[in-house]
Amino acid sequence: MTDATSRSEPGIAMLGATGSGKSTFLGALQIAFTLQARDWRLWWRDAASREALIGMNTALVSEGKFPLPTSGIDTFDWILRREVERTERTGWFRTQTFTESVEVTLKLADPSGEITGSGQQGGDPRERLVEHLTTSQGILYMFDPIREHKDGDAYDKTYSLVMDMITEAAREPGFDGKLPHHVAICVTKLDDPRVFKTAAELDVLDWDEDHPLGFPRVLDSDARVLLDKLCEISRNGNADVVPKLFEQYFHAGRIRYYVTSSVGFMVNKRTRRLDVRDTENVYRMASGRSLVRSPVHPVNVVEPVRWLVERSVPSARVPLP
Amino acid sequence: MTGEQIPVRAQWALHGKNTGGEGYRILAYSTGDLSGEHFADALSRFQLGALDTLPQVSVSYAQHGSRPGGSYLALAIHWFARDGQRFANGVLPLDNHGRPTAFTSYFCLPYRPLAAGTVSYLAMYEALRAVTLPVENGPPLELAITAPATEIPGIDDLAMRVAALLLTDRPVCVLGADETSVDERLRFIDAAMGLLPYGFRSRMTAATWTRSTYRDHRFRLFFSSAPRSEEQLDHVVTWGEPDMVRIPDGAAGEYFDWLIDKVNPLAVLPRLSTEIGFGPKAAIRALESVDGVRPQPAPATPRKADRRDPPLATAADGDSIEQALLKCAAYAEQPNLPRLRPEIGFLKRSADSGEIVDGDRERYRELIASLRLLRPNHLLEKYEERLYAALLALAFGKPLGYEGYCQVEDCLKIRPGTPPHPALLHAIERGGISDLLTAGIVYSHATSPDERSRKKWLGARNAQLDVAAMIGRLARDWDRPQHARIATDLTVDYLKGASSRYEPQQVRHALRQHGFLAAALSKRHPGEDQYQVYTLYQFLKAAYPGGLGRQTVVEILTATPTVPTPALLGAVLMQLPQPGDRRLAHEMYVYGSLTLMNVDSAMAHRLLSLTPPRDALAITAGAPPP
Repeated sequence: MTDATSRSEPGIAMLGATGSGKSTFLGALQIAFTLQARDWRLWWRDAASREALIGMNTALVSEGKFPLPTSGIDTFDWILRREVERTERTGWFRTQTFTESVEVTLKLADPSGEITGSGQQGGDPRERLVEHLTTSQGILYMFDPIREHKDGDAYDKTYSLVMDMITEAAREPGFDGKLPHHVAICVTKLDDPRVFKTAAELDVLDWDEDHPLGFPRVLDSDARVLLDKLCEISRNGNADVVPKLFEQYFHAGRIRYYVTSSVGFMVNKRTRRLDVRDTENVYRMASGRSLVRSPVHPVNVVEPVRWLVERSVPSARVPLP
Repeated sequence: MTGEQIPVRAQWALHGKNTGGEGYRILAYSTGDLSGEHFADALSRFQLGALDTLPQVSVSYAQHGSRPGGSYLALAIHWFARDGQRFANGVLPLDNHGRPTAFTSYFCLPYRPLAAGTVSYLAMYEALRAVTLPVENGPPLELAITAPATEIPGIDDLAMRVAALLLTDRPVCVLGADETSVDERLRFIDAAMGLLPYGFRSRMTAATWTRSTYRDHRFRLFFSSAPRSEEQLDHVVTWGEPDMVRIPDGAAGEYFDWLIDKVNPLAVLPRLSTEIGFGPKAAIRALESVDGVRPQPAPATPRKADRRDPPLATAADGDSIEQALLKCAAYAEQPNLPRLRPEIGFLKRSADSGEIVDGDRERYRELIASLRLLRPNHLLEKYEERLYAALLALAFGKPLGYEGYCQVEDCLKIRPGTPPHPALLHAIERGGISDLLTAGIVYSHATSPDERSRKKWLGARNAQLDVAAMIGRLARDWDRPQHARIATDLTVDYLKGASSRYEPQQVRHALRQHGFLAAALSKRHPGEDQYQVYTLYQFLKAAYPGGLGRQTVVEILTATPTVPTPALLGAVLMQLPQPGDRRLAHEMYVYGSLTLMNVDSAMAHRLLSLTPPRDALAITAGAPPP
């Protein structure tokens, strides 16, 4: 058995309106990998990325605090590493098994929601965001259905930015009108009773009897159905254009939908399982401040990141047995 | 001394989130020359990133067209709305999502009156933090800012270095200032800017804190908890660690030298506290006093690498450590201690990094030797030993082992066994030594081989010497026989002074195994018969504390792997009071000399046949057969 290490640096940019949960998603990333994907290890090389990872993880997991809203663009270099066992044929009747270490530096850009809006065009941070987006290989798009219900500005926040990316990409010779990125569209806040109830009504909740906490999830194949339903009740009524926008300007085969909850569901303190009558894991204090209610068990946080990484770095995929 | 009041007209903007509002925006601004777009643009360019701890202050600048009087110094106070800490009325602490809103009170003050009054950022902050802004547009504010009293620039070592670094057109990041207050950090920014022409403030940007993951900010000088990524090419300095700051060559370095030359002599005046009286000789005394502490001769431009000197020419394109060695040589020669200090710090950090491989060490040693960096240089004062310590760790190993010590001798081009100069020797001692042999050599150079030095040699734990192992080593060939002599002497001293700490049986066994060291001593010290006899006598005494019996004499002179030497015979005889025993020794010496010679087997047989049997000789000499 031989060993090798392959290293890659796919940039992954986060997109989404103010308060759509981009920073909270990042804060939940390490605990999500720890709980659900222990073959991956997440760490850092530079002090700033270390400080951010530990700070966000500790605040969310240990103190139940949500991250401060981003100002400008936060950039993290977080490293994901796993060992992949591969078998190669070395002769007519011989194969050789070797372990390959795959190390991926996630260059994560977390921009403030404000600079994604159309009113920000031409500004200094906005230009940098467009540059980050254009040079990234993957995009994590956060769609907050609750926020969309109240404000209905997801399309406004997304459209102008995608157009700016097209402007940048069009400078490259041979550009065919479609951006090359892989896009993971994450419908956030599954634990919110309104989202949960909609999913239940659509019968897209997949109940895993073996889940220790009794958590359901929405399968990726059903995520688009839920998104469409949630878009119908958007305030402006044009949220349904957002997925169409992505499908028009990105390759359809490079878009995948997820339904996520960074903090997971509320776990009933007595039964230690999900209580479908009390799913939301966020507590709002009288002051208006929000806190996490029970321990953080992220839902579908690992999956979109892993998918983007595996699409950007093919060697990170686990070969089929 | 109180400074004068300078009246200014402050244009302002309040940035944050309004009640029920979603995103950050300009909430209100003054109806002066600067428009809402001006403020929005300026505020978007100079953000700090999301911070847990506010208030913080940032300073920047603004320009309104190219007309005279259109330049402004800008100061922003970034704050959370909390009870008892509000810089604006009618704002809510949390946004719609229950998250704290970070507000910014942004002020633009006309540059010219501030420059005329040499107003500091801290003075601006003092005046502006008293302002409570409205949430509706309004007229500019009329303020009075107190100009600081005239004072000699403080000699803040770090600020002096940062001032020079700011001239390199690369941002400067200050770490390790977590425990300081906003005022202290702003005062530091002032201190650094106070060492540059005031006019630089018209284009200066600085912040008392920035989020480390917010990489795209445009501050030239900023505090943070961690460096930004390497892509930003920031100079990173640490609060309270001026010695770690390396000053680059070129114009910025020359400016730093100029600062040292001009600021140091003035700033040192308060420290000259020896009582001096006024009178006819006051001026002379003052000059004497100043001359006595004048820190440096006027620093010259670092000596350019001598193109005729091959190592220098090679290193001109070499790695950063080679560059630092070249700089050390130049600054040590001038000498220029303020410039030398950070280079030493850099070498020390490089040595401690653990990333230097043997090939690098060899190159560094060659460069150190050719630059003569280990030569004595008392002009370096306390930095002399620090330089040696850094060089030793970098190129010779830390703790220093025997191989490294030999390389030091080579580098100094001194005869092996000759003491290095005292400052270097002291640096070697302080840097730590990895083995007893090197320790022995160093301490034998440092002090006379008395009890105290022996204890130092054996270390604080008063380690027990493995005498048998040492005898084995002394029996081997040495590239540097002078070192063997030192080791031999130290071993003899140990045996003489610590009879209770070794087993004579072990010493005997080791000596027999190695021919009582007679051949090794004879080979290493030909012609030094007295030394050989004395040393062998001491070894025999240690091995046979009860004296030599007749059988032992036979063993020593005939039953070892090597031919007995005259010195060994002498050492044996000196321990034999009886004439019969001495006769036996003579016989055995002859027997051993003939039978232990290095000849082929035929000749060995022949010699043996020509020699009376050993038993017979022993009986003749009155001894029992062995």
